[in-house]
Amino acid sequence: MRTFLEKVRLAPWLYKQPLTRVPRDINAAVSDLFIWRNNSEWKSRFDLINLSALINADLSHNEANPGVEIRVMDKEGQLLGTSIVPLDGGYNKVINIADLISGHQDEYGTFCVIHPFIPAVVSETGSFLAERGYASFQYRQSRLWSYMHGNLDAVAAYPGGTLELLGGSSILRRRYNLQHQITNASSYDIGLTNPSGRRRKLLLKLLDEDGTEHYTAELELPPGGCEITRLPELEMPVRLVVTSKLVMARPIVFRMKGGLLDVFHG
Amino acid sequence: MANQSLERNPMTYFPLLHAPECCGYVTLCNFPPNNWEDRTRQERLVQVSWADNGKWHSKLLDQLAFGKSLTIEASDLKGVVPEEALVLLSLSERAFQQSSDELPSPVLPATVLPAWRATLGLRYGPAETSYQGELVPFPDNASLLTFGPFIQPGPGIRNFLLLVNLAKNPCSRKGNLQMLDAESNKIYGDVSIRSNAVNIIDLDAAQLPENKLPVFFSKEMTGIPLYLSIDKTSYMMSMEHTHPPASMAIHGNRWALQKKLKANWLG
Repeated sequence: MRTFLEKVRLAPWLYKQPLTRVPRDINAAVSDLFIWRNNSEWKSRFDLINLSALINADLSHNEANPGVEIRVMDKEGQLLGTSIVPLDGGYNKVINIADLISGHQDEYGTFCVIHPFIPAVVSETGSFLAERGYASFQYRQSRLWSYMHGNLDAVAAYPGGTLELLGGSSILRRRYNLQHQITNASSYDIGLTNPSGRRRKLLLKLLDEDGTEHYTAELELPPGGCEITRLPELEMPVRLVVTSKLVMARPIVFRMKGGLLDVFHG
Repeated sequence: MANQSLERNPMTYFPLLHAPECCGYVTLCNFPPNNWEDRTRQERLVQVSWADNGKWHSKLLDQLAFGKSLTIEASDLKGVVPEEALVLLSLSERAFQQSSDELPSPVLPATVLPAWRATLGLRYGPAETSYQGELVPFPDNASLLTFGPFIQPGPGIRNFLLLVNLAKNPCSRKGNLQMLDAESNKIYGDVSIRSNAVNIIDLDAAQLPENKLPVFFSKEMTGIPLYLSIDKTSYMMSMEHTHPPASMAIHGNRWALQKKLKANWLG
């Protein structure tokens, strides 16, 4: 257990600073804020799972369930398109994000997945159905897709269609230290999203093992937006530090070596 | 979802993964994942632990200064750890006994936003796949339910489920894992699994139907389910884990939801 002094020390970091705020309506559906990439080198998919049917099998063929709503945003968090994806009585379906944004030239952005049909047991337990499923990325037309699960419950969708970003705000600027050693054997793209309702400044730094800075980049992310930053390839091993007023600025890491891809989150 | 209760996170280990023809590695980082939950800046001991002959065994491998990282590969531990054992690496302020009846408890600061992690990876030729992870012991009476849409069919592509279990008891316990198709409820496989192991389950051998949602469950044991795909023709890999079913919901009593889900699928 934490001592009284520890609790006092941590209070400025914890008091009224939740990672994810509670949606204001028990009928809200919650989604991660996923990143998509789409250009000549990158393709993105989402493995949609019929969450309602997993909880209650009777709902797999329910005609009142029109399907799952996918909203795709650009990197500024502006809506590019909304699609209703019928599950046709099935339990899963693979969605190509490029199919949802045809006509747009954007190379990356965010999306959220909203399950409008919420089984009663979820609301009865005071919980909110949350989509934190599986995005996958194809790099340079590789035969395999690289999977990564959602890592932050970020968006509430209310009946009627309104969205609310749920990411909490920190009183103090805090550092997220990615516990991964970055070397020049690979190239790194760092993806960061803003799940809060305010514009956020984020500072990226690369530090060597002695704590010396070798790279700094400043980003400003609008609510619901994202940025993907290519890190420089340095001679020495370094680590990534992200400083911001987000409660947890957890990055998505794209690690490329030649045509090979490894994608993971912090 | 990260829990902000600030309870101490007990017994954080970093398992060395393995899979057919792959080489596992762990990169340990002796710095915390944020700047506010832990402010100690101290050297820590790198130790390896494993279960064998009904006891836990440990060996000191190195000391890691604050701010440093260290990668340990399977080949570094040849002759140290028996081949079939689950290899548990740790960072700790205190040295473990060489042999003990109890699973040693690494002294590592508790962090929750996020948990203290390491890079856990596999290599196949020039390809690598990894995730940021940690492993804490599972209760003996826990069950497993995981939905895994990750199988990627194709010539030259191999798909595996790696079920990583750690129990406090050093004696290996056996259980069974069933595989079924969510839509038809047809059972496609029933394989033996054991505690304190990286259980490797060949998903191609089960011949699960393509483009359907596979369900994996065990009434006797749980673990971290890692889904691994290897393209042997182009040396590409993908690996991802699933969360417990409670992660389908946030806030409220989501463990009651998990209970309901498990009753549906395991019942």
